[in-house]
Amino acid sequence: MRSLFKFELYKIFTQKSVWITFLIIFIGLPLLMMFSSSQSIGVTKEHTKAAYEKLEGDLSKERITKLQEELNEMDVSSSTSEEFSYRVTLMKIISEYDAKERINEKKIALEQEMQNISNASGAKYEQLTLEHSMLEKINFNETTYSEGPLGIIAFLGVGTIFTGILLIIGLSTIFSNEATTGMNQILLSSKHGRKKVTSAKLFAAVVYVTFIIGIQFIINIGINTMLYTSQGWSSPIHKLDIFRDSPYAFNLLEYFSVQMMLHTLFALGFAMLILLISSLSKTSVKSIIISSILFILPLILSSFRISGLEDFIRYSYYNMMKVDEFFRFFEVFHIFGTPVLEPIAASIVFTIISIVFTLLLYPIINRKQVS
Amino acid sequence: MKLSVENVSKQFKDKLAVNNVSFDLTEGVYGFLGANGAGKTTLMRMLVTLLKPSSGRILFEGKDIDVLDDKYRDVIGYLPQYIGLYKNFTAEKYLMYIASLKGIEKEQAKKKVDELLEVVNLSEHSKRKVGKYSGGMKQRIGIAQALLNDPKVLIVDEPTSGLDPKERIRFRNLLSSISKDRIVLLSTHIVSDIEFIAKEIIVLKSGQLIHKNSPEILLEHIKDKVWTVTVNENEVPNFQSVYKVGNIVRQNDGVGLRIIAEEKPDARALQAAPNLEDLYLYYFDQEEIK
Amino acid sequence: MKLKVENVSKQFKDKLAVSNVSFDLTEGVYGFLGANGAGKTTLMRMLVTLLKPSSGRILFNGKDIDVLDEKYRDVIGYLPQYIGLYKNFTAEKYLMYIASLKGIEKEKAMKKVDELLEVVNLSEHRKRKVGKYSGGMKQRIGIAQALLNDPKVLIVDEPTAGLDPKERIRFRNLLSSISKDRIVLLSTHIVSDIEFIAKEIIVIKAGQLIHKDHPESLLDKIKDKVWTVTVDENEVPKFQAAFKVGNIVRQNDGVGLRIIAEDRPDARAIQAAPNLEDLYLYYFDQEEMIK
Repeated sequence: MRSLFKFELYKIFTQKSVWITFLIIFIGLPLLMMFSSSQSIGVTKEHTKAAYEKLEGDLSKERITKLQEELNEMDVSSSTSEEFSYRVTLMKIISEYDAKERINEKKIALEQEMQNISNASGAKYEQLTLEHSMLEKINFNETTYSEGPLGIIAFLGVGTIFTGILLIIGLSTIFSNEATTGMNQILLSSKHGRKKVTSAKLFAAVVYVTFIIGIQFIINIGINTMLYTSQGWSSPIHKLDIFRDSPYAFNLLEYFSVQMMLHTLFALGFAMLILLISSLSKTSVKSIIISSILFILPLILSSFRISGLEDFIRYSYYNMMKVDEFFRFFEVFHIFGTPVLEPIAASIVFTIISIVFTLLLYPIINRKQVS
Repeated sequence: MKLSVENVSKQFKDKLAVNNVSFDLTEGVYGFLGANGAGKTTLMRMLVTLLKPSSGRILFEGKDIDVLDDKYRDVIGYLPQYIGLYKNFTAEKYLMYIASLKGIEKEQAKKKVDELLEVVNLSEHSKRKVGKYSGGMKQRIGIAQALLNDPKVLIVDEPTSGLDPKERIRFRNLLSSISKDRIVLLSTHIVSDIEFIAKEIIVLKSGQLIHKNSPEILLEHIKDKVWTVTVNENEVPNFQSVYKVGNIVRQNDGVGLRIIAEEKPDARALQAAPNLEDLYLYYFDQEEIK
Repeated sequence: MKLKVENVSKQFKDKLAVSNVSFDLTEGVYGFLGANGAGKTTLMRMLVTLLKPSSGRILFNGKDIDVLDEKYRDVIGYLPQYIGLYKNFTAEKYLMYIASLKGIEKEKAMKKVDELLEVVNLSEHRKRKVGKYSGGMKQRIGIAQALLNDPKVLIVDEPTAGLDPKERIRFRNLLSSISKDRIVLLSTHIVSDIEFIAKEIIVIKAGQLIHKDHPESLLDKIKDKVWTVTVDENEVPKFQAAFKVGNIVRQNDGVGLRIIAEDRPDARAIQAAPNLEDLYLYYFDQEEMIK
């Protein structure tokens, strides 16, 4: 079994197309990131860091009022890069305070709504309590310099596409290639060529998924730390515009951990779907095309805003691997009357689906005929 | 040891490829003859579990191979007609991979791979990628992979096509040296390859078993129907249009024809000892030869 | 018409596949014999411009085929050992495609395709996808495509491998019916397929031309070296170990061996008329043969 597994790994990793994609992505990507960080107009990373060092601290009302006055008094016409960076940083901090205020307002609104509900044990009430208690835990009293962590978290925007492409290229051919090369005749008539080889391919696929996510993890952290330092992991995610309304009391480090976990989970799920498609395809080309469509179609459709397709897009592998959509707003499913948070529910459901896909592989391969 | 084929049929969408075939195989080499499209490959694929019979069953030592499953696959070796290879594997790595598919542990596999590379005369090319191999070399690596697990049942589908005469003789000698204690079923179009080594000949025509017997008995059927005649070169087309002409050879004294005919085809013709190729030709319909 | 190979060599990275080969071909069928790896396919590929000689040149009617370029490709037909087919093309569509590659205009191509499908006996399967064809049918469609442009020079690489005896006989008849006024070069391992139809036999060994002659003169060389002997079954291994044994056939009265040997191998042995397969075996080194 171990040697079979090693061979399956060997087969995945000796595909030229995999390495070519690797090279394009992982040599092109760092270059691109460094290029874009040095080119943003006006704001430079050095001056931003300096500005934060001056401005970090309390997000109290008094302090923000003072900062707002400072901003109003600044001379907008003469603007060196240093002044410009300082001004942008000021604006960012003021908007962070707005986000903090929004959370407080939301809490008050929830409390009112709860008072208006007479039945204190209903599902609606439970849901409100849940959201309120989550908001309670958010600790948003300070602002710090967190450009590094923010860059690391933002990486999945492109990272998801890389993961998807590498999964499709590396795994689509895993079963279909045996049909294309004629090796099926030998595999399927060998003792371990139906069951154990399927397990070996599965494990090899898992290792491959871990590997490509691992590599991206290292590059992502390496480059962002190099460019921006690794300070500021303890800031809340609400600092980010897309998470202004998030009910989750994560700091950046916590969110990053959750993000990587879910990304890996859904990437594994997608890998299992690719394997299933590959096992059902007679040619590698078909297998690659079908997998690619399943991955890319929701991405394309999302830009058309067609009504009725929202759920299809929301629960597409692309969207789920990107993770962030799950944490922007308060979304729950009511399962047996209990409100379950969307990311938890989605993880459970998709884990089950992936397990089903995996288990389906065995009878498919076991019954396979060559004609 | 016994492999029994019991009333096996295989229906494809548009064709009944194998039609109610039954026979038993025991230790020894069986030559499997039949025109292209007669169902040989389909039947062989059923014998190695690549296809399931539409009806009937195949028993190994009295047990259904479908039930034996992995246990049956453990005792078979198969060389398909067109062997699948991973182009970027070296011969050695390829055989090690097949060995692990067959569940042979690493140490033993290494020994076996070395041994078989020697047997098929590929030792010096063991580090070359199989994608760079010639047709004959691919065939030989195919033979090696089929023998890795010391199979009790060896199924080889046209192993000699593409081999040159030298390689064919080597293969024939290899096969006769390993066929003791094994069931070997070998299909071929070059009848002389199995003429001597086959214990029995199985003849399939349009999916149906038409003969299974020892070569001697089969040859009895046509013993007074094979003729040789030496003719002038310009007489050849005439003979070709009237008779089933098998071999045509150039000789110092003219052109030697081998003719299958019920009656003496020409005054000069001499009766010849029939061989399996004659038998093969005998079973073709006249019109098929054209 | 003359196709002339002049001092042609082909060097691959690690191997001299063809070494300084020269010969002339004129109208008629040439049988091309040699062990696998001897350089047959390489030489044939050079003759159809798939490979360029590392040195030497090939002349068609006195002009370098490299210079003639398209003009030369217009007069050749080639059937490779492993024919490339588009699985989802029907036979008819496949041939029409090759016809347009060969620059045959549509009206004429349609006629020619019909005609050739008839010749290779595939008319009734013309609408079937070639992916569903059997090996023999693929070989026949291969022959048809090679003949589409009525080639003056036809190069066929092991066309009979995988064909059953019936198909081989049909192929032999087909070839002798089309070989008039053409240069046909045909490689094969089944020597009996060309024994009768070949005007000359070209034998290549380790990249070098070792013989090119009429079958009769070639056979003359081994005329007293071929023996047949009928022995008892258990004597066979002994003979195999001591002599070059070609065919082994079962006969009613024992086992018939065909032996190539300088001297009479056994008291019971009688001399036999040599054929080309004997010639083939004769040129193997003794050491190569054993085992």
